[in-house]
Amino acid sequence: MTSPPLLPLGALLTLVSAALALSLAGRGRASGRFAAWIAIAATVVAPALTTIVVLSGQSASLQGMVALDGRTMPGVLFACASGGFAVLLELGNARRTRAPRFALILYAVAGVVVVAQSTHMLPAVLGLAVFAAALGALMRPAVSWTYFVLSAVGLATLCLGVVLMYGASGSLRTDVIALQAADGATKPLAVAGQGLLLAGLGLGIGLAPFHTWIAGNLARLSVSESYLAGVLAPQAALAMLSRLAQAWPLQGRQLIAWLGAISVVYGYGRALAAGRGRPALAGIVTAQAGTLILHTLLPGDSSGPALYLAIGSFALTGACLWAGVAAPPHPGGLGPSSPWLRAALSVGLLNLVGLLPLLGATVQIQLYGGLLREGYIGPLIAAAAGQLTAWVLGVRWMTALWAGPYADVQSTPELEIVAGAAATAIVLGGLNAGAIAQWLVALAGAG
Amino acid sequence: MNQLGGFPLLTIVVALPLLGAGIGLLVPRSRPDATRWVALLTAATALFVALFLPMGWLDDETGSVQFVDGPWSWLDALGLNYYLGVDGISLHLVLLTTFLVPLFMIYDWVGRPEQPGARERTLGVLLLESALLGTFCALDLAALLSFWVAALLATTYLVSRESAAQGSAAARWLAAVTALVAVSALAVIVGFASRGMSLDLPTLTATPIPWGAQVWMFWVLVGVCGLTMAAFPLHLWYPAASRSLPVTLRALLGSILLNLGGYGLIRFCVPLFPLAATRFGPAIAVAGVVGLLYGALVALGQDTLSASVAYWRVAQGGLVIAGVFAMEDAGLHGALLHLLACSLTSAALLLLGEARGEDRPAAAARFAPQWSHLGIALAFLSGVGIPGTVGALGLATLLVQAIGGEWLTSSDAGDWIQRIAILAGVLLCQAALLRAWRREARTRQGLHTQQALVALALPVLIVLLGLYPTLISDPIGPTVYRVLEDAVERVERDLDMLGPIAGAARADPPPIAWNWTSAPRPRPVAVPAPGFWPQGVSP
Repeated sequence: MTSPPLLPLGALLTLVSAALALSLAGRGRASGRFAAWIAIAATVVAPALTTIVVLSGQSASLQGMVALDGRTMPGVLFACASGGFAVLLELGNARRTRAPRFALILYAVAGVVVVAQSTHMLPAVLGLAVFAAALGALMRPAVSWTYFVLSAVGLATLCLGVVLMYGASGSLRTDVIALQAADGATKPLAVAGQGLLLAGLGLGIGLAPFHTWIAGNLARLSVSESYLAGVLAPQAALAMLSRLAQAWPLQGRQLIAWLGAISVVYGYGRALAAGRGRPALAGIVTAQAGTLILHTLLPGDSSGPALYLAIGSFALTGACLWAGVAAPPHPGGLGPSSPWLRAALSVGLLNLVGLLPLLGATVQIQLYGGLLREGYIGPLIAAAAGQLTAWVLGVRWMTALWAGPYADVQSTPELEIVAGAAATAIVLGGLNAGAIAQWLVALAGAG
Repeated sequence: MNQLGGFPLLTIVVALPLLGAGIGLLVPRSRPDATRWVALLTAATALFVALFLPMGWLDDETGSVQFVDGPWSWLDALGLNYYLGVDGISLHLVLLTTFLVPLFMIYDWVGRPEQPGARERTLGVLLLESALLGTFCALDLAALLSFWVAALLATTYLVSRESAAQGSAAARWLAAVTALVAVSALAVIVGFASRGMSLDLPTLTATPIPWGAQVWMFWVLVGVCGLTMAAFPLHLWYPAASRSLPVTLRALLGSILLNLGGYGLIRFCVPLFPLAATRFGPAIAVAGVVGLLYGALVALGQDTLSASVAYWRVAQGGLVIAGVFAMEDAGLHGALLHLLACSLTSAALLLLGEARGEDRPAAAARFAPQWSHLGIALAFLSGVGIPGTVGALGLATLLVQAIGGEWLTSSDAGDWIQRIAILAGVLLCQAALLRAWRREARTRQGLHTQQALVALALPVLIVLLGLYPTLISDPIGPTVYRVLEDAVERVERDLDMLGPIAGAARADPPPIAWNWTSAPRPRPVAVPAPGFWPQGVSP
């Protein structure tokens, strides 16, 4: 059976159509809430379409550039879910909701969806550029200037890396690059290219030592913008790396492991020093970026499902944390302090530190077990020290949350929906982690 | 086995307090009494259900696990299961926890109808109870350690709430302890999971573990247990936390939470790593004896009853450690009995001591001071180990071990120094308690109704178990025997497998007699010669 040529772009077209419609809808305040629900519908329909196509046994590729298969599906699902959360955070937190802002969120999600579906470096870089441009446009001018400059530097570095990789392998197809690396045909040019690629992505996701911009920038963003920059950006980067991870040169793997471990230690240390609430989020983003980079070092059989579980866990943790620390200037005044929001924030923190049976704990066991098996003992010990810091941070944050007054935890229905849905998904995901991992393996195999 | 045809009795016992906390959370804040009644009702129901557990031992002398629930596979790839069960090691700790929590709740109501934060404290105690029961019932190492961490989290929450007025030093201590225990637990789980081992304890006990892994996991888990039981020199958090807490939480910490450490030593440190326990046990036992002496001396110098009891508990922790790592049945048996005795004794001492010292109008008291005199006298007598009280059981058994047993040190002189140190430590502990009693005897307060209930229930139990020790010692004996028998087999197997490790002269393990009253004690496990570090075997 021949697949329709535009089948792989179904999710993308849904998101872009909705975004275009919202862009044209005007700037009226009254249209804001309606626009939000259109945006949420788009973030539900797009992954639903993808899921239906993949589960019906179809897979398709557009000129070897963009693919729709079991391997790309989880990335699309997580990106759209995070987009939906971002829309709800915007709705629950912003003083005035406007349709174009939701359109920009959808553009950003569309960029990540492209990256997740890319089997070629060109659309992946384009997707990242779309994401960065949409996110920059979403921000206030004073902040967006910094973000644009940093994004430009990151993308330029990344493009240089891609050029070098093309020079080394003669192709920009990710499977060709990975195959050459697997054959042991890694060339110095390719190593340099991968180094630049990692540096470019590291700048975008706040990986140490490219993290310095993230703290000041996140603090000045609104909750939804901060969520997109802190949670969706790593998803985009990891979607790209998941296809190239097997191409990491053997000589550089220890270095990458140390880079990840240092990010974990530094990030959680910084978060602990910042205390709790929004100031701590920048540190957590850096630490999570390090954790996700460490996931890319796991062997081929387990890296796919483990990485996607890690991305999902981080997206859900992020939703709980960002919703929990939001202080909404709501039109009707500040909402009452909500025990449900506190509970969801606690679940997010427990997931971050890794308490069984939550999803984050299973991800951590997989990660650290994999690192132990692969012989990354030094980085493993360093990352464990970072995890210790995370526990101190989490316990202190939670006790402050429950034991004393906590002015930041304010509630609006949208925030409660985000936090409640994410917390429920964390618990259910943890309880069914085995089944989910098997499903991801089956999907990847089918793809 | 499950005597109820698969009925999940233990799941119900563990889940009931959690359910109570959930329902309590739904009760409006404006009705604190309703929350308390919900909490008390669920805690009492958990006790009622738990009272069915001893029936499993009516016709069982094998020491096997009873009322098994599972194993239900959860994450095959990581070897994680949901698996609950009780045996002689955990039965009394489950009963003790379900008995003490409602008692603490009743006591907490005394004269505190409008106390701010009482609702949150009550719900926190229910969460703690659920986590503790989960720890005692779990037969999967990952689940056990997760419940353990959850118990510490609940304790940190309770301590943070109460210590806010006195500064948050206690909360910081607890947060640090919780973080250390959590990361250590994660390390051990990863250590097993990365080798593709199932984490359910019965399977794990039968699975060979490489020597290098045994060593680091053993030390990590000993550290976890030592931290949680506030064993010297890891005890600093406990007196600090104890100082800033109200009496019920202080009693909860001292009488239930500290048991986790001793339980862990017996539940997984010895059974999973018997070779490592044999090798490093003597050093740990020496640390335990030093802790006994240190705790006793510091307790002797304290001016308040609660501080004396806190350091007395630290000292008793040392004695328990020494008993466990004697690696003989009397030591293990005595350690378990002593854990239970210390729990009941410290709960009675703290609650009754506080009740008598309260600054309260005499008119409020409905029962004469003589009641409290009698109750606290029995608690002190149990603390010093007078026959006829529960305190005599464990102490006597441990002293039998101390005097008649072999302490696995490399020389007779070492054994004798250890024996003398233990006797000195026990005597100093008794002196500390008698000194505190003399000071305490000057107070003359009557008791509220609820306090009188506590004054009646705890001393009655102390005397009842002292007069009928078989009630608790019968289920323990066969299980301890099985633990040691398995340990001997495992040491044999490990020595065969890891032969060059030891380069060790092996002694043939003599048969173990589980009747702990028999003397002289045989040495149950093979003791490798000194200089035992692996040679030619990579970890």
